[in-house]
Amino acid sequence: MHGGQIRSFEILELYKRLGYSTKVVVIKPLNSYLSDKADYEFYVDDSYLSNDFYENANPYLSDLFCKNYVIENLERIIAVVGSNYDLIHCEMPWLFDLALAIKKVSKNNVKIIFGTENVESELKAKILSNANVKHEIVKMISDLVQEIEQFAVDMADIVLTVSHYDFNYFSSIAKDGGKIILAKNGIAKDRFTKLDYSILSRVTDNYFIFVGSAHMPNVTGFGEMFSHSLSFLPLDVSVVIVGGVSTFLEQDPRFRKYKHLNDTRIIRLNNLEEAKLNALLLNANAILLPVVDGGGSNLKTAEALLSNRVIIATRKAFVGYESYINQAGIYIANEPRSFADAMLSMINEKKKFERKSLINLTWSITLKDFAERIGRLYE
Amino acid sequence: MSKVWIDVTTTMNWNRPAVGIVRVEQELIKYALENKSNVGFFIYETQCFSEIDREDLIKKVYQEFNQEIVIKKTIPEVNKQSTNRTSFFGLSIRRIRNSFFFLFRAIYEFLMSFVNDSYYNRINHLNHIKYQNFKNGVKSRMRRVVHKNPQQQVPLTSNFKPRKPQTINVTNGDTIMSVGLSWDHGSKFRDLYDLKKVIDIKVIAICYDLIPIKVPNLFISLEHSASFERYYDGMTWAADAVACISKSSQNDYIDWLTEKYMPRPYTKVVTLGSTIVPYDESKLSQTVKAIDQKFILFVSTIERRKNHETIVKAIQYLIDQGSENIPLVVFVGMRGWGVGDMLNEYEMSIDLKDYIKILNNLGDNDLSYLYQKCEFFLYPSFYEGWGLPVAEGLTYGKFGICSLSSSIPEVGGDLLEYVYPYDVLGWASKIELFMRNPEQLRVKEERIKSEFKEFTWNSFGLQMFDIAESIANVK
Repeated sequence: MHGGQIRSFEILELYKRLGYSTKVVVIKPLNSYLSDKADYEFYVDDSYLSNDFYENANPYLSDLFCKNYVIENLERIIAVVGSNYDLIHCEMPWLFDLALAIKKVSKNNVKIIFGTENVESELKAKILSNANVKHEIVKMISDLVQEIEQFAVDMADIVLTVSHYDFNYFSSIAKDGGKIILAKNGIAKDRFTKLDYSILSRVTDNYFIFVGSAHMPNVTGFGEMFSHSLSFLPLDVSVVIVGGVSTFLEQDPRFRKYKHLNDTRIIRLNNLEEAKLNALLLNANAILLPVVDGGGSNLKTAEALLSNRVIIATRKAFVGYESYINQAGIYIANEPRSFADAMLSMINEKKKFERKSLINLTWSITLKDFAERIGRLYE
Repeated sequence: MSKVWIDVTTTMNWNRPAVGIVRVEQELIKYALENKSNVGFFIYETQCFSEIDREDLIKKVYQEFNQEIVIKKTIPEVNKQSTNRTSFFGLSIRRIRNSFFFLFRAIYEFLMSFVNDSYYNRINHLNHIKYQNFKNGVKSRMRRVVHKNPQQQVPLTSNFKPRKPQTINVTNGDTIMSVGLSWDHGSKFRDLYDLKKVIDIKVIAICYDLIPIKVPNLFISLEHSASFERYYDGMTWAADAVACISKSSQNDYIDWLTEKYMPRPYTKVVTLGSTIVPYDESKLSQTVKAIDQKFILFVSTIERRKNHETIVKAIQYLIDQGSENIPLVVFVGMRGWGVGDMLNEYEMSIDLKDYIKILNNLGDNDLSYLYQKCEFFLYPSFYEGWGLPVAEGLTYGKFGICSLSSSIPEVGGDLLEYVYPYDVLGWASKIELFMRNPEQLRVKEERIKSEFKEFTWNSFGLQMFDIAESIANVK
């Protein structure tokens, strides 16, 4: 599961712990992530997934196109999922119309929770600009997404945010700032109990690890930090790339430019079970967090901190985790050169640290305020 | 005592008269054979470094191309007496012992390669090399990469015939020198990098140019450029020193390393030699004898980077202007890539064929004649690593008009005239100027005769071994 899915899953478990019975509705294009937790799944037809007007922006607008699908199929969807709900959690703003439509037809006093993962308008603008989409189209889409987010903030009873930046942003656009809650991403306490070291036979003795989903900011972050190629690493040192991002690296033109060099240092491991991923994280020379875009807060940062291993990250990767920056074994580097230098300093070392205040990283702590607010929702 | 091992892979696989880079490797080999005693020679074939017998090498470098063995007496000989003293019986004991050792080792490696990789890696010093052998199949598992026994003398036999290569006995402190067409030799530098993990050796490579990387638009294809860049990546990590054939190449190489944040090995500029050969009038080809007018010469493969097109356009311009001082331009070289349109234009032209002659497959004798008989030479190349034809022209005492680009001005300094490679009118103007003013040409040639210092292959060899000495004790 990628970071957003993990967050959604943890929030779902929280609702269950609070006594709610739950139903999960997923609306998605056919070729997107698996969602084995879904009770209802609706697949968006290909005819919705592009619009000539948006030219080369189309590959990055599937979420907007899913919104259009929902608007055109509201009655059909409600007929399937029903309307007998007390609380609707809408993760990200794209399907908010459905939440509102269910509220309107429901006999209950339905409360709507709007779960944000980023300032989507800013993120969309950045992704489209990096993809060389025309400025006019970028502005148009960014403005549209901003309207969608504003609408969701206005109509929701609670707005969840993942970082201080997002909290401040949504507080500034909300008429009622009191409904904005900070609920950072966390990690499971027992995250690293399962270990399978057999995976180490597939990697070099010295390696760095980068874990990420097929989310554009992961791709652009890697592309930017290694825009000079990976040939600064010795021939027998590799960067192990785990997760969906490993199949999307070529989407960044900077990576593509030196793909012939980069591929000699990269080991791609796409879908890896947790025990093997844990083994890789705990045995790496350093965990890389080359985040340059994305807002939100990085779940991988929390995992990296809990691993107690060396972390080489941009400042942006520690948004929401600023209090940990000065702890041992954390190297902050915001430029390709300093990022590379930090990696070179760790070439022949594998260090372990005992980090402080890791309990604050766990979901039980990060969602604590939210849980209390849910309890007061009907007061 | 530390030994220098010279990579002769290019030479041993070359079956034509040596040109360009092949010539460089052969001249280094000759220098080593004639001046150095503690030198060995090897070829590389897929993760295997195999020693080449001195006799085989001498035959290849001197005899195969009908070159006289000029200084045979100074070629160091293996101590035949000691070898003969061991006699047939002694030789057999050594060979039988070695054979059993190799057989046992091969069986051991074959069996161990089936053990879990990580365990196998931990129990063997040559972990990576052998891991690669495992991946390459049974045949590779049977093959040794490095001979761990103490250095042994390779006995001569009385009948000269090529022998099966033996693995090289490289030991701590030795140096490996590679100046050939290494980008065609697979993962040689990667294997040298791995070898250096287990044995303390130094590696010297050579940087001719970074043309496929720096100006890929003048190269064959982007795939080739990418492959070339991968080669430089591997070479840089394996090399302790890189000899660069010009200041321009050195600058290009250092810029490339800086841009990639790569470590910088020791670099030194070395100067390639140039060879001139007296011509024998009786052995001239009919093609060359048929040239009975004043001509200017351009020796180079006919390919896009060498910029024959600018000269063709310059001549066309002079024709159109009705100039009375248009020389015959002789292009000597094989047809390369990216010149189809230019050659079509030439073939279809009404008048160009009267002024431009294209020759190829000329031997040294014909070439020597052309150099000595030309009015002057041209070298309009867009980009070079050195400019061997420029050096050759100067060595023949000839004046030239050359490109103001990359390393070319390093070759002739202010003894030559330079024109921007894209400046068609500039080239036309200079060609006409020197055709119209032969006395200026003579003045130029006199200056070249008195001031030009010939680049010798002996000097090149000396510079390469100086590099070996410089890095020998560096940790």
